[in-house]
Amino acid sequence: MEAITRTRNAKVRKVSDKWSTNEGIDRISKLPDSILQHILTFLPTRDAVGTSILSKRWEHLWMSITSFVFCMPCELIYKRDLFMNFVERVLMLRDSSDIKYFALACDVLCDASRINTWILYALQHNVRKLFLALCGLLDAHTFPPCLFNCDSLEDLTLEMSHSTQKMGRVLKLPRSVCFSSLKSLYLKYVTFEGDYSTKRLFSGCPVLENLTLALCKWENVEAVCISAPMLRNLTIYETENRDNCQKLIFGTSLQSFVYIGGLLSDYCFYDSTSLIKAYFDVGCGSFITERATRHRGDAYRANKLLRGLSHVKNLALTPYTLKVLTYAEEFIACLPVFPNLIHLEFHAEPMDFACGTLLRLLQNLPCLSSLAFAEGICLSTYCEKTDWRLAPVPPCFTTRLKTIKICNFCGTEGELHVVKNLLKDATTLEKMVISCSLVKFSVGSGRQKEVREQLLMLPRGSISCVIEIS
Amino acid sequence: MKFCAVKQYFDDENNNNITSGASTTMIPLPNVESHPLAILITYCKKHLKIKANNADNKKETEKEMEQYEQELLKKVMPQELTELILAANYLNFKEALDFFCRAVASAIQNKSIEFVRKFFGLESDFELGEEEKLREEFAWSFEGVDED
Repeated sequence: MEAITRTRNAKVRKVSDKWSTNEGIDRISKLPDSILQHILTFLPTRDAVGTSILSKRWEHLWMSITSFVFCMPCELIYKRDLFMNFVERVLMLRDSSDIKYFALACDVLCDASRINTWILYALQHNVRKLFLALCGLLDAHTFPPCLFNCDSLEDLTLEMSHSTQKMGRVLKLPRSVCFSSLKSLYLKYVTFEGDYSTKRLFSGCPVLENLTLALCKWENVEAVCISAPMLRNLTIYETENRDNCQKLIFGTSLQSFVYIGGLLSDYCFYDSTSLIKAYFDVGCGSFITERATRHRGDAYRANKLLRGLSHVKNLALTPYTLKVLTYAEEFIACLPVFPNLIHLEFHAEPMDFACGTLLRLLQNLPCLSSLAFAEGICLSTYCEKTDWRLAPVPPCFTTRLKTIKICNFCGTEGELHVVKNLLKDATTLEKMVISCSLVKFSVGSGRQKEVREQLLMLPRGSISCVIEIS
Repeated sequence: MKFCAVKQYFDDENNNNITSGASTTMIPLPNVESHPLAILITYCKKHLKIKANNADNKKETEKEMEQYEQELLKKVMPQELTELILAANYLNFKEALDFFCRAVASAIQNKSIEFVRKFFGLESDFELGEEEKLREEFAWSFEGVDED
């Protein structure tokens, strides 16, 4: 029995153990070509093409593959020639069938025209899904113009960066842009060229449904209108760079909006009544360092964006986002009302109930039915004689609020005080779900039992309320 | 109905206006052995059962199905895998076909050619030097494969 050193896929190890004890018996040749080719579709491109060497029968089987993933890991830069030759030979030798999926992740360096040839090949074979993650682009890189006029393309991912510094590269667009079938577009590290160019891009996507702009740069653009008649999902990840670009979002069909970034530029919604859910996280994202000082401008922009989300049914915020709003007090007084909001949740950090903005916000959610704290809660002003309470009690607490969920519960006095008040005031509450922190409560400790008992003993304003603790 | 070939048989029968009492009709399946057929029937039943149990929760369905598939792979004899694939293909049972093909693919992924040949019971029928040429042509395929 050979010792197999691979650690992943234990189930596979079992199969290959048994197979190797029956050496010499040809198990595979009675399968027809079509099935062997079907097996190849489950292999990474490298391995599928490698089967060419197994025997004469296998030499040409791989050539009917329609999905290609060519990935050159950065550490293997000294093997770059092997990789480049490989891609070229594969594209040259395969049959002439259409390509469903073409993915290329590598350094461009001096091979821009070679790589453009490959992209052209994919386009000429009616590629439907194209993924390009290109590093080491030179400044004036131009893609083949027909990339931006491809009729078959349904899904495009374009990531353009400059070596390891992850700086964006300018995306040069041809005079005409028409993606007649493009439903999903993902752009990362792209620097937009200018107002006119950006306008051409977005108006050239008539059936676009999903748009993600990750770490893109807008310093060359004064104003951009992100609009597509069928746009359903818009996701924006940004950095801390101020770019003075006004962004107007036409949301006539928009259903979902995600923003994670420093919010250093102006976002304005025009008609966002179709929005169903939104996730809004200002600063304190995973790749943004916390700013030492926030300005009124930040509060203004946050408020403006929040206003554009006022029709949603489902909203996710972070505690820090609420904090940003407080940098201009006049905005707290006129926080928008969310007439359709049913579900509100908080992410990234524990929600501090001492935050006045939270209570103010809750007042403006007349239909709130479900409230969740994914990273838990806290009460920073807690002391033994605290008189903190929910004052005034938000209207939804006595009319609509049915479920409260608190994760990462640590059982501190402050938290218990908050839970006590929530239970007391939420008179229509049906369920309070508390999920204890795995870190704070080691398995089997008596502490969890203690806290559990304390929670179950708390008086409940709603008779039918059930408390679930895990 | 999962076994599309069988469904086709029923459809054809109805078209010929022959009343088919489903419980007593004998459907000829000349290309399927009884043992792989039994395994496929069990797989199909299990799949439908898991789907029914987790009607709303797609993630749970997938998770349970994965667990069942792992258990099944431990019990399946290697000689049967080819038979199972052939049977699933004949019966036009897509989920089972994909599953068993995926299992074979996982077994040979990132392995050396010698390993894969042994695995399949294949012998190289290339002329001297032909294989070397291919190896050179697709050198990238053989970079960093697992040790046998």
